[in-house]
Amino acid sequence: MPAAQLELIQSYRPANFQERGIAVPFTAPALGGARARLGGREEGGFEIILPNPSGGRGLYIMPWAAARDTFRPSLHDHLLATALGAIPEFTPAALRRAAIAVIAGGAAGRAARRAAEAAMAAERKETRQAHFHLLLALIRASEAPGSHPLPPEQEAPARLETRASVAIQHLTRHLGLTVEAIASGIEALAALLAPVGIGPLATGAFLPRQCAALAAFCAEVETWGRSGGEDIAPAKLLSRHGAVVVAAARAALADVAVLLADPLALFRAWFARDAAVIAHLSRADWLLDGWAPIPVLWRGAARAGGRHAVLDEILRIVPHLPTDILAGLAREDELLPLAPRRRGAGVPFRATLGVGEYLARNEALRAAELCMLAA
Amino acid sequence: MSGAVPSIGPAEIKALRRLLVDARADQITRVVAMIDQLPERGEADDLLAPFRTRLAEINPPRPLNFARLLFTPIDPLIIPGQRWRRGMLGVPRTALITLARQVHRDFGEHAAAIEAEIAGRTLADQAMIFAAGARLWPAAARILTSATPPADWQDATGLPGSDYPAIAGPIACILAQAVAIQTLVDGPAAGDAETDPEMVLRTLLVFATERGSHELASMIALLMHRLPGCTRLQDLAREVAATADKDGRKAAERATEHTLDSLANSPAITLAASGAGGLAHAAETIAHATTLLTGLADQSAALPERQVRIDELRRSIDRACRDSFTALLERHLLAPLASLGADTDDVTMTGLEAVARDLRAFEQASRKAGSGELYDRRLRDAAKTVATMRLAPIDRMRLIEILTNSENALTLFRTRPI
Repeated sequence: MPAAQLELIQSYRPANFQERGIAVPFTAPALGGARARLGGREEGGFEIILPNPSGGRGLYIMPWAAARDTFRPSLHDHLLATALGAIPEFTPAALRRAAIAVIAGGAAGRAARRAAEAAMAAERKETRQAHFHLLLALIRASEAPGSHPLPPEQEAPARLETRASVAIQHLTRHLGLTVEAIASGIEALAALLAPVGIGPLATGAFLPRQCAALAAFCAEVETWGRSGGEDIAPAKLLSRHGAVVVAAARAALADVAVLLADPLALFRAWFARDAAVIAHLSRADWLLDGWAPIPVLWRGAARAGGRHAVLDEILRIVPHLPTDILAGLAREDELLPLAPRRRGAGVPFRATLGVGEYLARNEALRAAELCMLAA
Repeated sequence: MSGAVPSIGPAEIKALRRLLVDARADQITRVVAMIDQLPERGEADDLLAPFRTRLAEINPPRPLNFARLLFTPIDPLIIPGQRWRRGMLGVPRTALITLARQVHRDFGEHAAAIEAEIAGRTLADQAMIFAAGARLWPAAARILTSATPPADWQDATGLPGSDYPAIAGPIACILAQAVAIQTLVDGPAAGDAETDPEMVLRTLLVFATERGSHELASMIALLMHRLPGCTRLQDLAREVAATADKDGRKAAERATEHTLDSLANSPAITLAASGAGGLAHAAETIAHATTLLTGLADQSAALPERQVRIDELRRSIDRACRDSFTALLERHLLAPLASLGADTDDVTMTGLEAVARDLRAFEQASRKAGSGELYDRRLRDAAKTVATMRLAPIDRMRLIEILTNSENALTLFRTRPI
């Protein structure tokens, strides 16, 4: 058969987000770019998906126990895996919280610990703000136009509390639920909306900021690629690949803004466990999952003057879109190939970092990533 | 090379030597800075000889001057003047000032501009060295290639003019390729594009072969030092030289002998192993030597006499490292940790973790010279000691992870990995 007619026997591209798994920020050098998904032989266990650990093209999929025995996890990684086994749901947000808690316990060193503490404080603040703006939206939606002289955001705290409690009563009647159920629903939705952003400061929330950071990274890579000799092609493709993700994530954030325009409908869908609405709320998080360390790596390399070397690492760990998301967004040839063969092999005499130094570098990168989260 | 410089006479040198016997670190640093400014170091340089160990410990910043910038690329080839013999590889230190003056004079106003640019900088400023050197080194290569011995050559060096070509020739050859060599050592990070390193090596060797066998041997010796992990170097030299009908094997052997002599005669490894200059410097120096010896041993399988010499060198490095490792572990890590509690601040803890990492790097480099089991035992014992300290559990676990591994940290704290 002529080569042109040959087809790949198996596509490595995951079918959906669940199959792609969530990015796990392990610090051991050999576990760089790892993702985890539910599955494996053990009950409640999870599988690790690792891009080309041997340098050849392709992915390794194995139960955590096998990855643990093969790839020498760090102390931080062991503790993170324990936390991963206990998270209530396998989502990027749940993993993010668990990972920050592990680092706040000191497992990745003091600098990362302080950054994690700041990130936790920032998340608490974002959640409080989301909670407040969700309540305001609910008040606006439940009150008749012109029934109060002041809009809720300008109301005095005591009167605002009264108006909020009337709005919640209205919602209990509207949805046939108890006040407690509504209160816990507001809390859960606020936690989900905190990274997405709600209210006048929505663009300052975690995911819109991550979108902006990724867009800036893509523009920088493209500019750099133009003067990068042999790296033009991968830099161009990386930039395009990232831009597709940014566009999709921004669209997902805009969809959430549309949902927030009708808070009563949003609450109705939430309490009816409307899968489509819930998926919409977390879609940007899933799209951007795994991208956070990449601009940090890139910026670190700019300081050390090592962008050619770090481009290899980025190409290996860059997240790929699942097929159900990809449809209509971009053609396969516009994106980076999955788990490509590592370049730069066969240069035996160049000094490389030792395992301890590499681990320290990864811990410093995690600290920088968490500082961004807290910014 | 220009401007007013202080002078120093025999009486001052004598007085300074007396002063240095009991001098504090800052006093030694001031004296070194003074000597660094002298146009002729001569006897003043000898003044420092008994204090080299303390100097390495203090590691004062060395100012960047025209001569230092000029000869940075050939540093591994520089040998003490009294060791240099006609026909051997290496550049006698006694010839450097005269050659630097010659290049300075012939480079005219450009030399003055470079001097102004590097004023106030130190040898630690690698970016400045590369930027200014990229302009100086190729021009200096051209000057030295066509120059004749300067008028003061014999007086300054004690060597006849007929020795000039054998010294200036290899320097010119290496300076002409200094930028390419540095880019190769730094890897693609410093270049604009990914290049095939073997192709660059071939180009360097072809260039040296065309200039003569002494230049080729000097280039190989330099590359051995700068790229200690490059095991293909000798084969490449033989291949390249053969195409030009030259004896690459002999050049490679001369380079190997020079490298082994340098390792045997240099106090740098013993000094580094004692911890002088800091643990990170020690680890780097020992890793360089042991990697170099491993590569040379692999390429000397058919030469039993050389194998014996390499083994002797390895044993001496092993002895130096083994004897000092336990003391360094105790002095730099275990003793400071013993006085700390659970409330240890971030800066102290982060600093001690960095020390533990440096000690591991020291151990990883040293065990290539032998005594692997001894290091394992020492590290396991250190981990057990750390486990019983008053530090917070997570700090102890991290230190044990750095000293041994993460599984050991979990086991010592009876935490079962999932």
